[in-house]
Amino acid sequence: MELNIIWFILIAVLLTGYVILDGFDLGIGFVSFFAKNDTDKRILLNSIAPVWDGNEVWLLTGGGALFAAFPDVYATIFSGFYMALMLVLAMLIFRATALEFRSKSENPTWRKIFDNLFAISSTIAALLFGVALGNVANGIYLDANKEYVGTFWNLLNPYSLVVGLTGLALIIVHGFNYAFYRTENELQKLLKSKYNIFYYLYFALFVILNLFTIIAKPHLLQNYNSNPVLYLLPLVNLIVILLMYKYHKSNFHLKTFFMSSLSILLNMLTFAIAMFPNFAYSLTDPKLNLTIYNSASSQKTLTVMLIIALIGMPLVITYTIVVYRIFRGKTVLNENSY
Amino acid sequence: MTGGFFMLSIAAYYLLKKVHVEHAKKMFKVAIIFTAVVSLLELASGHSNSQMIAKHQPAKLAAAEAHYDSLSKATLYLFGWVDEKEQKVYGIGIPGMLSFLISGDFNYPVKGLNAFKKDEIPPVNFVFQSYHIMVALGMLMIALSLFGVYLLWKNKIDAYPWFLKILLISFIFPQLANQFGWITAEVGRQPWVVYGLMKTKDAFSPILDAGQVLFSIILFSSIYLLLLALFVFVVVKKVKAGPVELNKN
Repeated sequence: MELNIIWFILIAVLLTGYVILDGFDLGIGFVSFFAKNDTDKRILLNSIAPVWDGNEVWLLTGGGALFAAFPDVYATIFSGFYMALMLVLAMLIFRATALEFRSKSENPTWRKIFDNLFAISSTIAALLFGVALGNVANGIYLDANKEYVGTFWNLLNPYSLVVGLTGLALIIVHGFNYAFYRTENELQKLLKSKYNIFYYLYFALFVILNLFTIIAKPHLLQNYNSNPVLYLLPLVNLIVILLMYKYHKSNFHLKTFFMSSLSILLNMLTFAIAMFPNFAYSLTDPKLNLTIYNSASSQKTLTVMLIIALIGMPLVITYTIVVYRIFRGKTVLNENSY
Repeated sequence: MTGGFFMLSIAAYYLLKKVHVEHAKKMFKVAIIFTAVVSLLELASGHSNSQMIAKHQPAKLAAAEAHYDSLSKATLYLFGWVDEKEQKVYGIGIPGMLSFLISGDFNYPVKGLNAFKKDEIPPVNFVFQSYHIMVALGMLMIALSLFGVYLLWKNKIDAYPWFLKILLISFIFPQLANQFGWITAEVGRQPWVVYGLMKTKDAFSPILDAGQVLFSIILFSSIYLLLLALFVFVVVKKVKAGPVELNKN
């Protein structure tokens, strides 16, 4: 297989890993709105405490890999989406700060400020990631030098907003599913009473997004039209989403969580196939699409990077599994907790 | 060093206030030995870094010592002020020392700033000053930690309140040295962003306007100032609360 294709797949894998892993801890951010007292808030924070920063590394490696393997894509997107990405960065900093600082003082106002900061910044970050993905799929204004010539406001178009909201709804559901697995008793009961509306919201947005794409975005359907069997993907996803609710009703918490993980995986796969071999569609001229060929580093760079990835990825996957095994089960607070 | 002097500051605070004295003495002992060793190692590491800079970024080194003509017996200044127009340094220095430190030979000719194109050298006095402040802080920290080791050896660590008062603010020295080192490294590299390959003025993103960049600078400056305030608040609280008894089970 060509190196360019391998690297497209690897970056897709990294970003998918990011959405599944950081997705639930961003989701916990939103879910923590519903926790009423200090102990419940702390249980939710500490359910993600050992893993949230490790999860964010997947975004770093995804961005790093994009920078090294497809520098033109990185340059165009990161400069073009400058303001939006600065906001994402600010949100990720606020989130980390809130997590680390909220329990450093007993003062209720202090804690309240950081709890709200954590919830709000997690939610905005989750929304903005989806909007960014929506834009590269919808298309962006590029000039002949592959530079972004749109504005910040061009990024807020209907299609990208639908993608953003769908992503946010999925991440919230994913966060709930994780919370059910890591909590018990009253807190779990309380959270379960809030679940349905977000589940239905995701369900509805998922259907709307797929119809929107099929009706109005033919450029995203090229790979699907040449291999119509791929149209089964969103249908399989739909079944997964239905199963998720069934498992939820039967209190199979881990299975419910796996279903939302699987739904993220299928969404990202659907997205990657709609994009391939492009990283970003151009609204100005399809010839200017940023592809895995016109934006790539040299073959030598891609080869060296592949060797590094083949050594690094198994290590990352191993320690991720080890950490999750150590911290499985219900969250218990102790003197080392946040 | 940052960690060591941070610990010394807290130990000095407790010793001056005469609280948690036993803890403070233990902290002092560990930290002062540690900083003495590390600050001397820092000298060796700084020396080898300068040799590397002399080899790979000669203009930066020449600016740091305001060395204009490629003469032998290049001077190492202890401090000074550079008159960039007259290409003169008013200050105290050791002739030949720069040559010696770079090559081991007092007569080694060090490449001077005039050997470079006029538009390919950094602002000289600025780099000179930041570099010398960094070095001076390094020397100060070596002196402080060696004197502290001497006091520890004589069992007189709380005999000189003035020394403890200097240690009280010493947490800031490694921070400042670090920042001035960065300034030297980054400004000294100008006008290159990748030395010898790409100039800073060619590295801008062509589509960003100044307003967007200003927005992000203001945004992140505010965030970092806020984080600094939070950090200081939490640290001061923890230091005032004193050491926590550990469970002995």
